[in-house]
Amino acid sequence: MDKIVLQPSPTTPKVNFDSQTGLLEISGKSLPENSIDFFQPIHAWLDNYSADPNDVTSLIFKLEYFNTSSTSHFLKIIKKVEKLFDMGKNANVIWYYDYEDEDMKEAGEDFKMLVKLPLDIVGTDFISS
Amino acid sequence: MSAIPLQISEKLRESNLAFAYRGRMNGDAIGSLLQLAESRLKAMQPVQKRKKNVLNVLIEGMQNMYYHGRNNQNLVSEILPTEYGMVGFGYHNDAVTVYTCNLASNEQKLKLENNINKLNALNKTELHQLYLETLDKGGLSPEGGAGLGLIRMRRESGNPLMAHFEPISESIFVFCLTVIVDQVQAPMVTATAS
Repeated sequence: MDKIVLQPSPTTPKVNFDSQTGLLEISGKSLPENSIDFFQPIHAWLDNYSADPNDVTSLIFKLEYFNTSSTSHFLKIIKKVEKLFDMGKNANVIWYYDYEDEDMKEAGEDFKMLVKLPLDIVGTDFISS
Repeated sequence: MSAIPLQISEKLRESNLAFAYRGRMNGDAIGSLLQLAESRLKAMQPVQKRKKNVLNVLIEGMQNMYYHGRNNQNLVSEILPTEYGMVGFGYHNDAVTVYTCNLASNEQKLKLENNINKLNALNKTELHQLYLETLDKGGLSPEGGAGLGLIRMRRESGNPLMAHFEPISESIFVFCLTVIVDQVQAPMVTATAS
């Protein structure tokens, strides 16, 4: 279970979760037809990873667009990483947003209000508009 | 019969329509339509600052079409032989108006009317609170819907959501939602139930 890597499509994000480095990255567009089907293997991988996690885990979001059914899955994923933090591991979330995308910034702030682990909201210009 | 209610057809004609799609909604269509909508919006200089709001409303509309419309299709296959859904937007009077239509059962109609009336009466803070509570509950329908779509549309727009139901059989309606995104975001406008 070293890695789960999903290539991006016009409606699904790139997913790159690496147990060796503890870097878990979701980027691009997340508008899957059926969010349960799409996120199920990601949740399963994370459950396995949580049984024997890296000392440092960093969950990174770099999103352009997402639908609200993805939002629920993002929160589930964040809460699984929060459990690692509660166990005393070094775990955090970094939520990147495009400088011009206030909505994406607010989405990060919403997640931050619902969890207790460190969640940094970072403005950047790397996401193409 | 036209499956787009007359009231909506007239609005579409008035709205300087920039983009419209009618037919089956699936992942491929969502990806292509989002790309097309982005390119159409780039040409609308006055609304550049609200572009993301328009696209987010559109994304939720397409998600509704996919999740809810197809479940009712088999009940009206004689009237509507091909899978029905409609999404579009136009620019008129310094605002972008987004239209989405999908099939709804009688039960869904009652639920939607109730939800929309409640959402329209909430102010910005109340909507935000409801969004956080619903998100935190984490419930998902079998198709993956999170019950957040209408809340998000209302928050992105800032204006009341306008619903119209056109009966096409005893138990099935065409549900059309009209969402206005102003060129400049006004303070959240509330509306009482009609």
